[in-house]
Amino acid sequence: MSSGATVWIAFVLCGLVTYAQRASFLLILGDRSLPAPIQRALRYVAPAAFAAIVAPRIFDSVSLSEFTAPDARLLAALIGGVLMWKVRNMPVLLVVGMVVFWLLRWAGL
Amino acid sequence: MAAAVPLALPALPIGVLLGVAIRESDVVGNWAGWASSFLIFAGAAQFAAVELLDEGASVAAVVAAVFMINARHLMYSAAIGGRFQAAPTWFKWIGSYFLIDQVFALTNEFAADGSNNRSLAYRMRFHLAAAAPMAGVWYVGVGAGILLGQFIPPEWEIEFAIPLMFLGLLLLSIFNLPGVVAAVLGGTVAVVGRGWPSGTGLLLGAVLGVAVAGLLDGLLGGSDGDAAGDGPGGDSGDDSNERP
Repeated sequence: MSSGATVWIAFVLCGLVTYAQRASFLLILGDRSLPAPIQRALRYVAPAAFAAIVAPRIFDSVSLSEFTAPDARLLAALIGGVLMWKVRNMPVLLVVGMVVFWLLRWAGL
Repeated sequence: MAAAVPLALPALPIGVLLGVAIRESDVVGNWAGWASSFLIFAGAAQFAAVELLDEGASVAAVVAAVFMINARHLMYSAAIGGRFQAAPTWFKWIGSYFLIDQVFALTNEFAADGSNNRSLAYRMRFHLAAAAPMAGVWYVGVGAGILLGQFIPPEWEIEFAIPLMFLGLLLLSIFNLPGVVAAVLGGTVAVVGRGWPSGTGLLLGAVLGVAVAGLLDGLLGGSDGDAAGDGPGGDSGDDSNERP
């Protein structure tokens, strides 16, 4: 199977899964509610999944077995992250994070 | 619809960024990438899907990751399912497609105002009118990014904005101690599992983080965080300045 077809199949399946999640209660389950433990667990899907996406990309340069100096990605993410925590504004994070990243790259990190 | 515009506008640069990422991907074609905006219509999930496909992940791994990232929609659906019980079937089919973070945030706010007593027809119009600007901005933004991507030199490493965006979503999604635990577990397992095949580190980390945080939340007697949950791009209760 060509990789082009694989990509289309993946997107169609992802679309069906997402639609099924959105339609679950509207179309099928109505006003029944989820069991309490599932409801509790679902609230933590966002932090767990986002951290699992972010961490490998930010700690890319960090070795688990030896000391490594932080690189531009890690430093830019740290500075952007602290700022984000304060202002809670996504455009500010993206702009400041990218500018810091480019400055650090320019400085040779 | 006027209420939806301030929520829709910040989605534009994110859509453009996704378009650029699609353009730069060696695996995801331009048309397939643009189509994902219609098929999936969920920003964070589309970013993750494009990245995973680019890294050579299997279809199963991509679908599983999207399931995790979009699991919050189950909560949205549960939260508004009762409100639209009496709605016609066509609305339930179409309304489900448009049940994205921002629309949920608006519909939910609107219901909290006591506007829930408004007629069903009014609530249906509100749901669809909230969704329209979001959908338009998203489809156009991603398409524009795909077209603009060719003019952006690769040495700018503009794709670093993607982990930055996920970092922002992560920070917006943490509102209590179990949330911190979920993030630390998810992130640690994913870093340790960097070399594992096809996105298993991401999935294992996410599942473990969710399970432990859910148990911890139960032990702590349930937090009073936003019961609607938080999400990518979406609704974290105290902040209205996020994206799809």
